[in-house]
Amino acid sequence: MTRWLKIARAELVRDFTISLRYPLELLTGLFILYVLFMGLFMGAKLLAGQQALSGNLDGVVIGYTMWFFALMAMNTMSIDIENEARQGTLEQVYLNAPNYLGLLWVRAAVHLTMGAGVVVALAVLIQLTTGHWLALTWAAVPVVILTIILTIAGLCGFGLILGGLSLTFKRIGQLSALVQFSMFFLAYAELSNIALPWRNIVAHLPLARGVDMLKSLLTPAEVYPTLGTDLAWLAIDSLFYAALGSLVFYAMERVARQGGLLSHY
Amino acid sequence: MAGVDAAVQISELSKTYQGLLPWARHEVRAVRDVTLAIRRGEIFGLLGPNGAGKTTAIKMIAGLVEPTRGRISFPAFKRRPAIGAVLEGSRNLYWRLSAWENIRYFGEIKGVPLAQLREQAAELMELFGIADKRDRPAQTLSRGMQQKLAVVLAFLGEPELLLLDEPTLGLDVASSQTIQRLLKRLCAERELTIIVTTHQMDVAQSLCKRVGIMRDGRIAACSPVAELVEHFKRQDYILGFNRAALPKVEQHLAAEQVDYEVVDGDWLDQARLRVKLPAARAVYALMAGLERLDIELTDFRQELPTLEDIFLSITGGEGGAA
Repeated sequence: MTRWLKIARAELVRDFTISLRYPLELLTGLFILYVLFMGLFMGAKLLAGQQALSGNLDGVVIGYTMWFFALMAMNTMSIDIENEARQGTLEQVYLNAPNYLGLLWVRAAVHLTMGAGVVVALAVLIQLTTGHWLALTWAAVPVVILTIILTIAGLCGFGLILGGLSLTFKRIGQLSALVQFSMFFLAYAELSNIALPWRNIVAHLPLARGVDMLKSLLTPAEVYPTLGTDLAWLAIDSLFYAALGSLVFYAMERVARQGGLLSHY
Repeated sequence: MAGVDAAVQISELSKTYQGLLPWARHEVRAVRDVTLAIRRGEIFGLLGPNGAGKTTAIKMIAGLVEPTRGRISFPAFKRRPAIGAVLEGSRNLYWRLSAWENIRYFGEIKGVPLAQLREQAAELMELFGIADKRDRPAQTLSRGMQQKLAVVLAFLGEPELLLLDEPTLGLDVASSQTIQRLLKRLCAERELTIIVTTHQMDVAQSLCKRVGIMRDGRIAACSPVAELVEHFKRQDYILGFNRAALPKVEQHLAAEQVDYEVVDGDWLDQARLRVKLPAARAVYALMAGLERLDIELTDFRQELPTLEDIFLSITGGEGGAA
Protein backbone atom coordinates (compact mmCIF):
# COMPACT_ATOMS: atom_id res chain seq x y z
CA MET A 1 0.00 0.00 0.00
CA THR A 2 1.43 3.37 -0.93
CA ARG A 3 2.15 6.05 1.66
CA TRP A 4 -0.77 8.22 0.57
CA LEU A 5 -3.23 5.32 0.72
CA LYS A 6 -2.04 4.63 4.26
CA ILE A 7 -2.61 8.28 5.09
CA ALA A 8 -6.12 8.04 3.61
CA ARG A 9 -6.78 4.95 5.74
CA ALA A 10 -5.48 6.75 8.84
CA GLU A 11 -7.75 9.72 8.16
CA LEU A 12 -10.72 7.45 7.53
CA VAL A 13 -10.18 5.49 10.74
CA ARG A 14 -9.69 8.69 12.76
CA ASP A 15 -12.85 10.33 11.37
CA PHE A 16 -14.93 7.22 11.74
CA THR A 17 -13.74 6.60 15.30
CA ILE A 18 -14.52 10.14 16.41
CA SER A 19 -17.96 10.05 14.75
CA LEU A 20 -18.83 6.77 16.46
CA ARG A 21 -17.45 7.90 19.81
CA TYR A 22 -19.58 11.03 19.81
CA PRO A 23 -22.81 9.93 18.03
CA LEU A 24 -24.94 12.59 19.70
CA GLU A 25 -22.83 15.32 18.10
CA LEU A 26 -23.26 13.69 14.68
CA LEU A 27 -27.00 13.22 15.09
CA THR A 28 -27.50 16.75 16.41
CA GLY A 29 -25.59 18.12 13.41
CA LEU A 30 -27.78 16.15 11.02
CA PHE A 31 -30.94 17.21 12.84
CA ILE A 32 -29.95 20.88 12.60
CA LEU A 33 -29.23 20.53 8.87
CA TYR A 34 -32.58 18.87 8.35
CA VAL A 35 -34.48 21.48 10.37
CA LEU A 36 -32.65 24.26 8.52
CA PHE A 37 -33.71 22.79 5.20
CA MET A 38 -37.31 22.36 6.27
CA GLY A 39 -37.32 25.98 7.46
CA LEU A 40 -36.01 27.02 4.05
CA PHE A 41 -38.55 24.83 2.29
CA MET A 42 -41.52 26.03 4.33
CA GLY A 43 -40.41 29.65 3.99
CA ALA A 44 -40.11 29.30 0.19
CA LYS A 45 -43.51 27.59 0.05
CA LEU A 46 -45.09 30.37 2.05
CA LEU A 47 -43.59 33.07 -0.15
CA ALA A 48 -43.98 31.45 -3.57
CA GLY A 49 -46.97 29.18 -3.06
CA GLN A 50 -47.04 25.40 -3.65
CA GLN A 51 -47.63 25.75 -7.39
CA ALA A 52 -44.69 28.04 -8.04
CA LEU A 53 -42.41 26.05 -5.76
CA SER A 54 -42.98 22.64 -7.25
CA GLY A 55 -41.03 23.55 -10.40
CA ASN A 56 -38.13 24.82 -8.32
CA LEU A 57 -38.03 22.08 -5.74
CA ASP A 58 -35.26 20.25 -7.53
CA GLY A 59 -33.21 23.39 -7.31
CA VAL A 60 -33.95 23.79 -3.59
CA VAL A 61 -32.90 20.20 -2.81
CA ILE A 62 -29.81 20.27 -5.04
CA GLY A 63 -28.76 23.74 -3.90
CA TYR A 64 -29.10 22.82 -0.25
CA THR A 65 -27.24 19.51 -0.47
CA MET A 66 -24.45 21.11 -2.52
CA TRP A 67 -24.23 23.98 -0.05
CA PHE A 68 -23.77 21.36 2.67
CA PHE A 69 -20.97 19.80 0.59
CA ALA A 70 -19.43 23.25 0.12
CA LEU A 71 -19.42 23.88 3.87
CA MET A 72 -17.83 20.50 4.49
CA ALA A 73 -15.13 21.07 1.86
CA MET A 74 -14.26 24.52 3.15
CA ASN A 75 -14.32 23.45 6.79
CA THR A 76 -11.87 20.66 6.02
CA MET A 77 -9.52 23.07 4.31
CA SER A 78 -9.78 25.97 6.76
CA ILE A 79 -11.64 25.60 10.07
CA ASP A 80 -10.06 22.19 10.73
CA ILE A 81 -6.63 23.82 10.45
CA GLU A 82 -7.67 26.47 12.97
CA ASN A 83 -8.89 23.74 15.29
CA GLU A 84 -5.66 21.77 14.92
CA ALA A 85 -3.59 24.85 15.67
CA ARG A 86 -5.75 25.57 18.71
CA GLN A 87 -5.55 22.05 20.14
CA GLY A 88 -1.82 21.77 19.46
CA THR A 89 -1.73 18.89 16.97
CA LEU A 90 -0.94 20.95 13.88
CA GLU A 91 2.83 20.94 14.36
CA GLN A 92 2.79 17.23 15.14
CA VAL A 93 0.91 16.50 11.93
CA TYR A 94 3.36 18.74 10.03
CA LEU A 95 6.27 16.78 11.47
CA ASN A 96 4.85 13.36 10.70
CA ALA A 97 3.15 13.78 7.33
CA PRO A 98 5.31 13.78 4.20
CA ASN A 99 3.59 16.94 3.00
CA TYR A 100 0.88 18.87 4.78
CA LEU A 101 -0.80 20.22 1.65
CA GLY A 102 -0.97 16.69 0.25
CA LEU A 103 -2.39 15.48 3.56
CA LEU A 104 -5.07 18.17 3.39
CA TRP A 105 -6.17 17.02 -0.07
CA VAL A 106 -6.28 13.39 1.10
CA ARG A 107 -8.15 14.45 4.23
CA ALA A 108 -10.65 16.39 2.12
CA ALA A 109 -11.20 13.38 -0.15
CA VAL A 110 -11.83 11.15 2.89
CA HIS A 111 -14.06 13.65 4.72
CA LEU A 112 -16.09 14.29 1.61
CA THR A 113 -16.47 10.63 0.76
CA MET A 114 -17.75 10.04 4.27
CA GLY A 115 -19.82 13.20 4.00
CA ALA A 116 -21.33 11.90 0.77
CA GLY A 117 -23.06 9.22 2.83
CA VAL A 118 -24.52 11.92 5.05
CA VAL A 119 -25.52 14.01 2.03
CA VAL A 120 -27.28 11.07 0.38
CA ALA A 121 -29.10 10.28 3.64
CA LEU A 122 -30.07 13.94 4.02
CA ALA A 123 -31.22 14.18 0.39
CA VAL A 124 -33.36 11.04 0.78
CA LEU A 125 -34.84 12.36 4.05
CA ILE A 126 -35.62 15.71 2.45
CA GLN A 127 -37.26 14.05 -0.56
CA LEU A 128 -39.24 11.76 1.73
CA THR A 129 -40.49 14.72 3.72
CA THR A 130 -41.34 16.89 0.73
CA GLY A 131 -42.68 13.99 -1.31
CA HIS A 132 -40.76 15.24 -4.32
CA TRP A 133 -38.12 12.97 -5.83
CA LEU A 134 -35.19 13.98 -8.00
CA ALA A 135 -35.20 12.35 -11.43
CA LEU A 136 -31.89 10.53 -11.20
CA THR A 137 -31.46 7.86 -13.84
CA TRP A 138 -28.73 5.23 -13.82
CA ALA A 139 -27.42 6.61 -17.08
CA ALA A 140 -26.96 10.05 -15.52
CA VAL A 141 -25.14 8.74 -12.41
CA PRO A 142 -21.55 8.91 -13.81
CA VAL A 143 -21.99 12.47 -15.10
CA VAL A 144 -23.69 13.55 -11.87
CA ILE A 145 -20.86 12.08 -9.78
CA LEU A 146 -18.22 13.68 -12.04
CA THR A 147 -19.99 17.04 -11.79
CA ILE A 148 -20.15 16.78 -8.00
CA ILE A 149 -16.45 15.79 -7.76
CA LEU A 150 -15.34 18.66 -10.00
CA THR A 151 -17.50 21.17 -8.15
CA ILE A 152 -16.19 20.00 -4.79
CA ALA A 153 -12.56 20.06 -6.00
CA GLY A 154 -12.98 23.71 -6.88
CA LEU A 155 -14.54 24.39 -3.51
CA CYS A 156 -11.65 22.64 -1.75
CA GLY A 157 -9.25 24.85 -3.67
CA PHE A 158 -11.22 27.90 -2.61
CA GLY A 159 -11.21 26.57 0.96
CA LEU A 160 -7.43 26.30 0.80
CA ILE A 161 -7.20 30.06 0.29
CA LEU A 162 -9.08 30.47 3.57
CA GLY A 163 -6.92 27.74 5.13
CA GLY A 164 -3.75 29.57 4.16
CA LEU A 165 -5.09 32.80 5.60
CA SER A 166 -6.11 31.01 8.78
CA LEU A 167 -2.62 29.52 9.12
CA THR A 168 -1.09 32.99 9.01
CA PHE A 169 -3.69 35.37 10.38
CA LYS A 170 -5.45 32.88 12.70
CA ARG A 171 -8.77 34.52 13.41
CA ILE A 172 -10.65 34.50 10.12
CA GLY A 173 -14.03 33.44 11.52
CA GLN A 174 -15.82 36.52 10.13
CA LEU A 175 -14.36 36.00 6.68
CA SER A 176 -15.29 32.29 6.81
CA ALA A 177 -18.86 33.17 7.77
CA LEU A 178 -19.06 35.67 4.92
CA VAL A 179 -17.79 33.10 2.42
CA GLN A 180 -20.20 30.44 3.70
CA PHE A 181 -23.05 32.93 3.36
CA SER A 182 -21.93 33.79 -0.17
CA MET A 183 -21.85 30.10 -1.02
CA PHE A 184 -25.50 29.87 -0.05
CA PHE A 185 -26.35 32.48 -2.68
CA LEU A 186 -24.15 30.79 -5.27
CA ALA A 187 -25.89 27.49 -4.54
CA TYR A 188 -29.21 29.09 -5.37
CA ALA A 189 -28.09 31.34 -8.22
CA GLU A 190 -30.27 30.78 -11.31
CA LEU A 191 -27.67 31.38 -13.99
CA SER A 192 -30.29 31.64 -16.75
CA ASN A 193 -31.96 34.51 -14.89
CA ILE A 194 -28.77 36.55 -14.59
CA ALA A 195 -28.10 39.12 -17.30
CA LEU A 196 -24.88 39.07 -19.31
CA PRO A 197 -22.05 39.73 -18.67
CA TRP A 198 -22.73 38.98 -14.98
CA ARG A 199 -23.96 35.49 -15.85
CA ASN A 200 -20.53 34.57 -17.19
CA ILE A 201 -18.79 36.00 -14.14
CA VAL A 202 -21.05 34.19 -11.65
CA ALA A 203 -20.71 30.95 -13.64
CA HIS A 204 -16.96 30.99 -13.04
CA LEU A 205 -17.37 31.41 -9.29
CA PRO A 206 -17.21 28.26 -7.13
CA LEU A 207 -20.36 26.16 -6.84
CA ALA A 208 -22.63 28.15 -9.23
CA ARG A 209 -21.99 26.26 -12.48
CA GLY A 210 -21.86 22.88 -10.74
CA VAL A 211 -25.27 23.37 -9.09
CA ASP A 212 -26.73 24.73 -12.33
CA MET A 213 -25.50 21.65 -14.20
CA LEU A 214 -26.87 19.29 -11.55
CA LYS A 215 -30.27 20.95 -11.81
CA SER A 216 -30.29 20.29 -15.55
CA LEU A 217 -29.00 16.74 -15.14
CA LEU A 218 -31.61 15.89 -12.53
CA THR A 219 -34.59 17.44 -14.29
CA PRO A 220 -36.67 14.79 -16.04
CA ALA A 221 -36.59 14.68 -19.81
CA GLU A 222 -34.66 17.90 -20.15
CA VAL A 223 -32.32 18.04 -23.14
CA TYR A 224 -28.88 19.23 -22.16
CA PRO A 225 -27.09 20.18 -25.35
CA THR A 226 -24.24 22.14 -23.71
CA LEU A 227 -23.25 19.39 -21.26
CA GLY A 228 -19.82 18.85 -22.83
CA THR A 229 -18.93 22.54 -22.86
CA ASP A 230 -20.22 23.09 -19.31
CA LEU A 231 -18.31 20.06 -18.06
CA ALA A 232 -15.13 21.36 -19.69
CA TRP A 233 -15.58 24.82 -18.16
CA LEU A 234 -16.35 23.29 -14.78
CA ALA A 235 -13.14 21.25 -15.00
CA ILE A 236 -11.10 24.32 -16.00
CA ASP A 237 -12.61 26.44 -13.21
CA SER A 238 -12.09 23.71 -10.61
CA LEU A 239 -8.52 23.15 -11.71
CA PHE A 240 -7.94 26.90 -11.53
CA TYR A 241 -9.34 27.13 -7.97
CA ALA A 242 -7.47 24.01 -6.86
CA ALA A 243 -4.19 25.38 -8.25
CA LEU A 244 -4.81 28.89 -6.91
CA GLY A 245 -5.77 27.52 -3.48
CA SER A 246 -2.68 25.30 -3.36
CA LEU A 247 -0.42 28.18 -4.37
CA VAL A 248 -1.93 30.58 -1.85
CA PHE A 249 -1.75 27.93 0.85
CA TYR A 250 1.87 27.17 0.00
CA ALA A 251 2.76 30.89 0.14
CA MET A 252 0.89 31.41 3.42
CA GLU A 253 2.51 28.30 4.89
CA ARG A 254 5.90 29.81 4.05
CA VAL A 255 4.88 33.06 5.79
CA ALA A 256 3.69 31.02 8.80
CA ARG A 257 7.00 29.17 8.96
CA GLN A 258 8.89 32.45 8.74
CA GLY A 259 6.75 33.93 11.49
CA GLY A 260 6.81 30.80 13.66
CA LEU A 261 3.02 30.79 13.51
CA LEU A 262 2.23 27.11 13.03
CA SER A 263 1.55 26.48 16.69
CA HIS A 264 0.20 29.88 17.68
CA TYR A 265 -3.43 30.67 17.88
CA MET B 1 33.67 20.36 17.88
CA ALA B 2 34.27 19.45 14.26
CA GLY B 3 31.06 18.94 12.39
CA VAL B 4 32.02 15.68 10.64
CA ASP B 5 30.43 13.33 13.17
CA ALA B 6 27.79 15.80 14.31
CA ALA B 7 24.20 14.63 14.21
CA VAL B 8 23.09 18.25 14.13
CA GLN B 9 25.38 21.04 13.01
CA ILE B 10 24.04 24.54 13.60
CA SER B 11 26.02 27.38 12.07
CA GLU B 12 25.44 31.06 12.83
CA LEU B 13 21.73 30.47 13.19
CA SER B 14 19.60 33.56 13.68
CA LYS B 15 15.88 34.15 13.81
CA THR B 16 14.18 37.51 13.86
CA TYR B 17 10.40 37.54 14.08
CA GLN B 18 8.69 40.40 12.35
CA GLY B 19 5.08 41.52 12.63
CA LEU B 20 3.05 40.60 9.53
CA LEU B 21 1.06 43.77 9.19
CA PRO B 22 2.65 47.03 7.97
CA TRP B 23 1.49 48.92 11.08
CA ALA B 24 2.87 46.28 13.42
CA ARG B 25 6.33 45.69 12.00
CA HIS B 26 8.06 45.27 15.36
CA GLU B 27 11.03 42.93 15.40
CA VAL B 28 11.90 40.30 17.97
CA ARG B 29 15.36 38.79 17.73
CA ALA B 30 14.69 35.34 19.15
CA VAL B 31 17.94 33.56 18.20
CA ARG B 32 21.26 35.25 17.44
CA ASP B 33 24.26 33.66 15.77
CA VAL B 34 23.97 30.29 17.44
CA THR B 35 26.65 27.81 16.46
CA LEU B 36 26.42 24.33 17.94
CA ALA B 37 27.31 20.79 17.09
CA ILE B 38 25.44 17.92 18.68
CA ARG B 39 26.98 14.47 18.47
CA ARG B 40 25.17 11.36 17.36
CA GLY B 41 23.88 9.42 20.36
CA GLU B 42 24.13 12.40 22.67
CA ILE B 43 21.45 13.82 24.96
CA PHE B 44 21.91 17.56 24.70
CA GLY B 45 20.10 19.98 26.99
CA LEU B 46 19.11 23.46 25.95
CA LEU B 47 18.51 25.66 28.96
CA GLY B 48 17.66 29.29 29.34
CA PRO B 49 15.22 31.73 30.91
CA ASN B 50 11.83 32.54 29.37
CA GLY B 51 12.24 34.09 25.93
CA ALA B 52 15.87 32.96 25.61
CA GLY B 53 15.12 31.40 22.22
CA LYS B 54 15.26 27.68 23.04
CA THR B 55 11.88 26.75 21.63
CA THR B 56 12.55 28.75 18.47
CA ALA B 57 15.90 26.99 18.10
CA ILE B 58 14.37 23.52 18.53
CA LYS B 59 11.56 24.35 16.08
CA MET B 60 14.09 25.53 13.50
CA ILE B 61 15.85 22.17 13.84
CA ALA B 62 12.46 20.46 13.36
CA GLY B 63 11.87 22.54 10.24
CA LEU B 64 8.76 24.19 11.64
CA VAL B 65 10.29 27.66 11.78
CA GLU B 66 12.39 29.07 8.95
CA PRO B 67 15.69 30.64 10.03
CA THR B 68 16.37 34.25 9.09
CA ARG B 69 20.04 33.45 8.67
CA GLY B 70 22.42 30.55 9.20
CA ARG B 71 22.30 26.88 8.48
CA ILE B 72 21.23 23.61 10.07
CA SER B 73 22.70 20.40 8.68
CA PHE B 74 22.84 16.76 9.70
CA PRO B 75 26.34 15.58 8.64
CA ALA B 76 26.22 12.24 10.44
CA PHE B 77 23.10 11.20 8.52
CA LYS B 78 24.04 12.54 5.06
CA ARG B 79 20.32 13.46 4.72
CA ARG B 80 17.52 14.81 6.88
CA PRO B 81 17.12 12.30 9.73
CA ALA B 82 13.81 10.84 10.86
CA ILE B 83 12.65 13.23 13.57
CA GLY B 84 10.37 12.52 16.51
CA ALA B 85 9.24 15.40 18.65
CA VAL B 86 7.27 16.46 21.69
CA LEU B 87 6.75 20.17 21.18
CA GLU B 88 3.49 20.98 22.85
CA GLY B 89 3.51 18.27 25.50
CA SER B 90 0.18 16.60 26.02
CA ARG B 91 -1.40 19.04 23.53
CA ASN B 92 0.27 16.98 20.79
CA LEU B 93 -2.51 14.41 21.12
CA TYR B 94 -5.98 14.09 19.67
CA TRP B 95 -7.88 14.12 22.92
CA ARG B 96 -10.92 12.34 21.54
CA LEU B 97 -8.88 9.38 20.35
CA SER B 98 -7.62 6.62 22.60
CA ALA B 99 -3.93 6.05 23.25
CA TRP B 100 -3.77 3.31 20.60
CA GLU B 101 -5.79 5.36 18.09
CA ASN B 102 -3.37 8.26 18.50
CA ILE B 103 -0.45 5.90 17.97
CA ARG B 104 -2.10 4.38 14.93
CA TYR B 105 -2.95 7.75 13.36
CA PHE B 106 0.44 9.38 13.83
CA GLY B 107 2.28 6.16 13.00
CA GLU B 108 0.40 5.67 9.76
CA ILE B 109 0.87 9.23 8.52
CA LYS B 110 4.54 8.79 9.39
CA GLY B 111 4.59 5.77 7.11
CA VAL B 112 5.10 3.02 9.69
CA PRO B 113 3.54 -0.29 8.54
CA LEU B 114 0.56 -1.25 10.67
CA ALA B 115 2.03 -4.56 11.83
CA GLN B 116 5.24 -2.86 12.96
CA LEU B 117 3.17 -0.15 14.59
CA ARG B 118 1.22 -2.69 16.65
CA GLU B 119 4.43 -4.31 17.80
CA GLN B 120 6.15 -1.03 18.58
CA ALA B 121 3.10 0.41 20.34
CA ALA B 122 2.81 -2.64 22.59
CA GLU B 123 6.51 -2.48 23.48
CA LEU B 124 6.61 1.28 24.10
CA MET B 125 3.34 1.40 26.04
CA GLU B 126 4.57 -1.42 28.22
CA LEU B 127 7.88 0.37 28.79
CA PHE B 128 6.20 3.65 29.69
CA GLY B 129 3.63 1.93 31.90
CA ILE B 130 0.55 2.90 29.92
CA ALA B 131 -0.28 -0.48 28.36
CA ASP B 132 -3.45 -0.77 30.44
CA LYS B 133 -4.57 2.65 29.18
CA ARG B 134 -4.43 1.55 25.54
CA ASP B 135 -8.13 1.98 24.81
CA ARG B 136 -8.89 4.98 26.97
CA PRO B 137 -9.52 8.34 25.26
CA ALA B 138 -6.52 10.63 25.78
CA GLN B 139 -8.68 13.24 27.49
CA THR B 140 -9.46 10.82 30.33
CA LEU B 141 -5.78 10.10 31.04
CA SER B 142 -3.86 11.90 33.76
CA ARG B 143 -1.42 14.63 32.76
CA GLY B 144 1.51 12.28 33.38
CA MET B 145 -0.03 9.54 31.22
CA GLN B 146 -0.74 12.02 28.42
CA GLN B 147 2.85 13.22 28.56
CA LYS B 148 4.11 9.64 28.42
CA LEU B 149 1.84 8.99 25.44
CA ALA B 150 3.23 12.11 23.72
CA VAL B 151 6.76 10.71 24.23
CA VAL B 152 5.65 7.30 22.91
CA LEU B 153 4.35 9.05 19.74
CA ALA B 154 7.74 10.69 19.29
CA PHE B 155 9.41 7.27 19.36
CA LEU B 156 7.25 5.79 16.58
CA GLY B 157 8.98 4.76 13.39
CA GLU B 158 12.52 4.54 14.76
CA PRO B 159 13.44 8.25 14.83
CA GLU B 160 17.12 9.16 14.62
CA LEU B 161 16.71 12.57 16.20
CA LEU B 162 14.35 13.32 19.07
CA LEU B 163 13.37 16.90 19.91
CA LEU B 164 11.75 17.28 23.30
CA ASP B 165 10.45 20.61 24.50
CA GLU B 166 9.88 20.37 28.26
CA PRO B 167 9.11 16.63 28.24
CA THR B 168 8.73 16.35 32.02
CA LEU B 169 7.02 19.66 32.75
CA GLY B 170 4.24 19.34 35.31
CA LEU B 171 4.88 15.67 36.00
CA ASP B 172 5.16 14.09 39.42
CA VAL B 173 8.60 12.92 40.52
CA ALA B 174 7.94 9.26 39.70
CA SER B 175 6.64 9.95 36.17
CA SER B 176 9.45 12.40 35.50
CA GLN B 177 12.04 9.84 36.61
CA THR B 178 10.42 7.11 34.51
CA ILE B 179 10.61 9.27 31.39
CA GLN B 180 14.22 10.27 32.13
CA ARG B 181 15.27 6.68 32.76
CA LEU B 182 13.63 5.44 29.58
CA LEU B 183 15.01 8.27 27.48
CA LYS B 184 18.52 7.44 28.68
CA ARG B 185 17.99 3.74 28.05
CA LEU B 186 16.46 4.12 24.60
CA CYS B 187 19.07 6.70 23.64
CA ALA B 188 21.84 4.25 24.54
CA GLU B 189 20.16 1.24 22.89
CA ARG B 190 19.28 2.95 19.61
CA GLU B 191 22.12 5.47 19.24
CA LEU B 192 19.46 8.13 19.29
CA THR B 193 20.31 11.83 19.40
CA ILE B 194 18.11 13.80 21.76
CA ILE B 195 17.82 17.56 22.13
CA VAL B 196 15.83 18.51 25.17
CA THR B 197 14.77 21.83 26.61
CA THR B 198 13.78 21.89 30.25
CA HIS B 199 12.99 24.22 33.09
CA GLN B 200 14.04 21.61 35.57
CA MET B 201 17.76 21.80 36.28
CA ASP B 202 17.75 18.47 38.11
CA VAL B 203 16.30 16.86 34.98
CA ALA B 204 18.96 18.47 32.77
CA GLN B 205 21.68 17.42 35.18
CA SER B 206 20.58 13.81 35.36
CA LEU B 207 19.59 13.45 31.68
CA CYS B 208 22.06 15.42 29.62
CA LYS B 209 25.67 14.78 28.79
CA ARG B 210 26.10 18.34 27.61
CA VAL B 211 24.07 21.48 28.01
CA GLY B 212 23.89 24.78 26.21
CA ILE B 213 22.65 27.72 28.23
CA MET B 214 20.89 30.36 26.17
CA ARG B 215 20.45 33.96 27.11
CA ASP B 216 18.92 36.67 24.91
CA GLY B 217 18.99 34.35 21.91
CA ARG B 218 22.69 33.53 22.23
CA ILE B 219 24.50 30.52 23.62
CA ALA B 220 26.04 31.86 26.82
CA ALA B 221 27.71 28.58 27.77
CA CYS B 222 27.98 25.16 26.20
CA SER B 223 29.83 22.33 27.90
CA PRO B 224 29.51 18.86 29.32
CA VAL B 225 27.62 19.14 32.60
CA ALA B 226 30.66 17.83 34.53
CA GLU B 227 32.91 20.48 33.00
CA LEU B 228 30.46 23.23 33.80
CA VAL B 229 30.30 22.02 37.39
CA GLU B 230 34.09 21.93 37.54
CA HIS B 231 34.33 25.41 36.03
CA PHE B 232 31.88 26.92 38.46
CA LYS B 233 33.17 24.94 41.42
CA ARG B 234 34.09 27.07 44.41
CA GLN B 235 36.09 26.13 47.47
CA ASP B 236 33.02 25.84 49.62
CA TYR B 237 33.02 23.13 52.28
CA ILE B 238 30.34 21.93 54.63
CA LEU B 239 31.49 21.25 58.17
CA GLY B 240 29.31 19.37 60.64
CA PHE B 241 30.09 19.03 64.36
CA ASN B 242 28.56 19.05 67.81
CA ARG B 243 26.50 22.15 68.36
CA ALA B 244 28.20 22.85 71.70
CA ALA B 245 31.43 23.56 69.82
CA LEU B 246 29.88 26.21 67.57
CA PRO B 247 31.09 29.32 69.51
CA LYS B 248 34.62 27.94 69.64
CA VAL B 249 34.67 27.18 65.88
CA GLU B 250 33.16 30.54 64.98
CA GLN B 251 35.77 32.32 67.09
CA HIS B 252 38.54 30.38 65.38
CA LEU B 253 37.25 31.08 61.84
CA ALA B 254 36.88 34.78 62.64
CA ALA B 255 40.42 34.89 63.95
CA GLU B 256 41.72 33.18 60.80
CA GLN B 257 39.61 35.55 58.64
CA VAL B 258 37.79 32.68 56.94
CA ASP B 259 34.36 33.46 55.44
CA TYR B 260 31.61 31.20 56.67
CA GLU B 261 27.90 30.97 57.23
CA VAL B 262 25.79 28.82 59.48
CA VAL B 263 23.65 26.30 57.62
CA ASP B 264 20.70 24.68 59.41
CA GLY B 265 22.33 25.42 62.74
CA ASP B 266 19.22 24.59 64.71
CA TRP B 267 19.17 21.06 63.47
CA LEU B 268 19.07 18.83 66.58
CA ASP B 269 22.41 18.85 68.36
CA GLN B 270 24.41 19.26 65.20
CA ALA B 271 25.79 22.50 63.82
CA ARG B 272 26.63 22.94 60.14
CA LEU B 273 28.78 25.62 58.61
CA ARG B 274 29.51 26.49 55.00
CA VAL B 275 33.14 27.59 54.91
CA LYS B 276 34.36 29.54 51.89
CA LEU B 277 38.06 29.05 51.40
CA PRO B 278 40.22 31.19 49.07
CA ALA B 279 41.97 28.15 47.54
CA ALA B 280 41.97 24.35 47.70
CA ARG B 281 45.20 24.29 49.69
CA ALA B 282 43.60 26.33 52.51
CA VAL B 283 41.72 23.20 53.50
CA TYR B 284 44.90 21.82 55.19
CA ALA B 285 45.20 24.87 57.46
CA LEU B 286 41.49 24.65 58.26
CA MET B 287 41.78 21.00 59.23
CA ALA B 288 44.87 21.64 61.33
CA GLY B 289 43.13 24.44 63.21
CA LEU B 290 40.05 22.31 63.90
CA GLU B 291 42.25 19.49 65.12
CA ARG B 292 44.02 21.85 67.52
CA LEU B 293 40.61 22.84 68.91
CA ASP B 294 39.80 19.15 69.27
CA ILE B 295 36.66 19.45 67.13
CA GLU B 296 35.19 16.12 66.14
CA LEU B 297 33.75 16.47 62.63
CA THR B 298 30.54 14.60 61.81
CA ASP B 299 30.39 15.95 58.25
CA PHE B 300 33.01 17.28 55.89
CA ARG B 301 32.53 17.62 52.14
CA GLN B 302 33.10 19.97 49.30
CA GLU B 303 29.91 21.60 48.13
CA LEU B 304 29.61 21.36 44.35
CA PRO B 305 27.43 23.80 42.44
CA THR B 306 24.25 22.38 41.02
CA LEU B 307 23.29 23.09 37.42
CA GLU B 308 20.74 25.49 38.87
CA ASP B 309 23.51 27.50 40.58
CA ILE B 310 25.44 27.58 37.31
CA PHE B 311 22.33 28.52 35.33
CA LEU B 312 21.52 31.37 37.72
CA SER B 313 25.10 32.53 37.68
CA ILE B 314 25.20 32.62 33.84
CA THR B 315 21.77 34.09 33.31
CA GLY B 316 22.17 36.60 36.11
CA GLY B 317 19.35 35.15 38.16
CA GLU B 318 16.64 35.30 35.50
CA GLY B 319 13.76 32.83 35.83
CA GLY B 320 13.46 29.33 34.48
CA ALA B 321 13.65 28.12 30.97
CA ALA B 322 10.93 28.44 28.31
